[in-house]
Amino acid sequence: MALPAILTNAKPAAATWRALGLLAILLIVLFVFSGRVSMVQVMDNARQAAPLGLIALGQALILLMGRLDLSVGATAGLANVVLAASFAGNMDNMATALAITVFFGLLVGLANGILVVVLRIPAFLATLATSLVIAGAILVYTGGSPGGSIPAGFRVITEGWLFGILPWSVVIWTACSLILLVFVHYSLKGRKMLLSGANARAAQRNGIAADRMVIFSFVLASFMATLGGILLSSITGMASIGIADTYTVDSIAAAVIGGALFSGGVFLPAGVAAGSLILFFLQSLLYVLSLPPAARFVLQGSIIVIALALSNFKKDR
Amino acid sequence: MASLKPANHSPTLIAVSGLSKSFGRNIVLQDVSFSLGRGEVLALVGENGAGKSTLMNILSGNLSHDAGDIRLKDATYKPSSPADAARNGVAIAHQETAVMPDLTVAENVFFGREPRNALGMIRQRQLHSDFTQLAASLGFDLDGRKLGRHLSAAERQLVEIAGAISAKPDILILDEPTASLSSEAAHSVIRLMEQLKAQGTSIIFISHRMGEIMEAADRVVVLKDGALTLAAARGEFSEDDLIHAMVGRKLENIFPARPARENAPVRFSVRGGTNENLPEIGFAVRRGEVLGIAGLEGQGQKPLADALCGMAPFRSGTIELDGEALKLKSPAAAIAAGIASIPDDRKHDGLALSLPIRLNMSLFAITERAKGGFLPLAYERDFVEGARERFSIRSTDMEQPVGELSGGNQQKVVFARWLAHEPKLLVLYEPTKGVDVQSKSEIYHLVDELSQKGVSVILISSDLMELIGLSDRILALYEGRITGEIARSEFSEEKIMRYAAGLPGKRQAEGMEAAHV
Repeated sequence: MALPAILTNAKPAAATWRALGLLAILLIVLFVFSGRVSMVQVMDNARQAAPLGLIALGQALILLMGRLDLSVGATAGLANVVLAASFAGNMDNMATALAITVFFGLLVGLANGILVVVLRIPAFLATLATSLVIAGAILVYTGGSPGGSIPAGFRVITEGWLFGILPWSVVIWTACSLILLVFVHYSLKGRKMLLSGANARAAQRNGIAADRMVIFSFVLASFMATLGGILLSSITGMASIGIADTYTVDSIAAAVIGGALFSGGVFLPAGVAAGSLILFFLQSLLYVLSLPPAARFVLQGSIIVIALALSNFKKDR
Repeated sequence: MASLKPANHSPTLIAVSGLSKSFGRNIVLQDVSFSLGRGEVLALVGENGAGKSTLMNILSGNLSHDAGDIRLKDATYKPSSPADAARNGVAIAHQETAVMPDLTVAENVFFGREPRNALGMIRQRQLHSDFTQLAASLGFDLDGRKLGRHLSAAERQLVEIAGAISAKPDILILDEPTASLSSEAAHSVIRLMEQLKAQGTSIIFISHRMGEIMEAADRVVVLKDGALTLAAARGEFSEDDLIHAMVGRKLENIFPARPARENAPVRFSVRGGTNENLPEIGFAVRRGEVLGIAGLEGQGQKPLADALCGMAPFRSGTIELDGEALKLKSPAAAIAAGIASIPDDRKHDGLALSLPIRLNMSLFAITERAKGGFLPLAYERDFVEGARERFSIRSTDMEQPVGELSGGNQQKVVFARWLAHEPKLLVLYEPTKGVDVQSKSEIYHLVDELSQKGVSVILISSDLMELIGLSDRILALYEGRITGEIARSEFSEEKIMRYAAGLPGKRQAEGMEAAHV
């Protein structure tokens, strides 16, 4: 009650605490089995989790609107191919390369938004269709062997560390999380998104342009997927086909572990971050336990079940 | 309690005695008794919430009764499911909305009883020949291959009835078969009922329309608040008896005392307002006036409320607010013009149930005060806390999801949202549906308070008590048109019901009614 209004508004939800708790448990398990978990190791995992973290943030925005975006993986892959091709390994091309990449990303988001709002196609079908179109277009354009590369100078964004303790990609990820947190929970437009995400009909009746909010969320999600694709490109340094395909499902998993609901109206960036990190530390755990990589899916599925079971358990009480 | 005289012309088919049913502490049927003979038509009459649907659901096997006895063909009848009821010869035709849009007419009619081959697949040819036979015997002219979604409301109703008839029941129950039909289409349903009756089928039908009850019913059963207030055979009841049995009750002291206001200037008017659901509507509201709009279910209340709040705008006509022409093209336009509206379905149209009270309540307040696109959070808190005190909203705090509140408190949140700036016109559509008496009274006093300040109010309601207690003037809505106007000095439930039932002609009787109220 004594909390100032500005804090009440950003008070972490129970779901955020649950996700952070799961993450903590995972780190403890990792520590017990490997005997050592250093800060550098944690940060290095976070560095590699950043592309997923950004893509999952976009997915969380779509889930906030009560929809699903099955094209985020393809959009990140598109960013990878376009960025490498337009960079062509030359640092001088940076501005154009980034501009072209972001342009394509925004285009995908706009297409998704229009399919969903104007043509009234259910979001998961519309975005599934766009993802197929993107994958096909990439194959046609590249003939199956995409060219170009990311110059070493640019790859600092994922390979470099700020003061040697904080990877730049983690800085970017944190900044994006904070910006979106402030946008959704502290701006008028964000508030309108929350209201239309939780109940589009009621929002519309109260004068909110709920449809426009949906289009906007798809554009924003594609932008985040493009950012994720750019970081991913920086990590690999080159273009490859289908590099981000698994990110579609992973982004949904990360957002849901982080407390997002399919029914909409929830946006918890800290939870999404925790969800993304959980998926990455799971992989580390597999190495430590020397389990086959395929076991990752089993563990991932189990974590989703645990996260959702915990939230339902709380509700029933 | 009135009792039914023993049938003198046909043997009793079903006899209900002392039937009672309650949901928790809520008694919905109390000691109801009546009987129906073979080949007779019984009209089941009552206001919304009187217990008609419960009674019907008990007879058709959807609900079981707590006490009492039903005897069908001289055997105890207590169906365990609709299928069990059907085996005993009792079939129900629901309202036309139950027709499935993507099935054909024939598939809808025989739904669940389709002729099937050894593999369990529907034998389409057999299905259609069965349908043709049935349609011929009923004398209706419908293409069995037409999809449900391409049917008119009347056709859908006929499909529902045909579906029930195809089971060849002894007793056919019709749930408001004419509610959504024009009077012409309603007539074809009545003719069908007469034909079935001639074939020996007994019919129980629910209706709000006095005309067709008087025309078609051999017997009537009137329910009010779950109790039987009238059971009579043809010739033993008049329209006035029915209306009196439906509404006879006293006003409680939950309404504010309102001074008359007749000389205030007109604030809002609609002339020749039409759209696909409203044939033509026109009315005017004065400054500070509460204009009640009465009507039976489905007479255009929802289209009117939707048009006034900009959700389903008028296609033509003139709208004026404070002398200025206005277009209500969208909810945003209506809000900008100063028209506030409270929807009838607050869970779907009013609130984001999963979000906190604060977020649900503050929308308009923060929209006005936002600086540079950012939320005025301190102001929001003050506004919300102030509204909470003013409305005495009972909740743990303002961060509680609004879906956890009681109906009355939820409705108060919807009202509070509009208090950020006083509207010029307040459109209320069933504002106290599912609201407890205490909250009702608080809402009534708030409406009164706003009208004293000059806010004009349009109160669309099916609650007669509420209309009479709060309105300065009442208009009756019937089939999407205004069919009568009643001044406050002449308010009576009988008079409103008469207009609302589409009986505007009895001018000479009005004086008498006003006198006896």
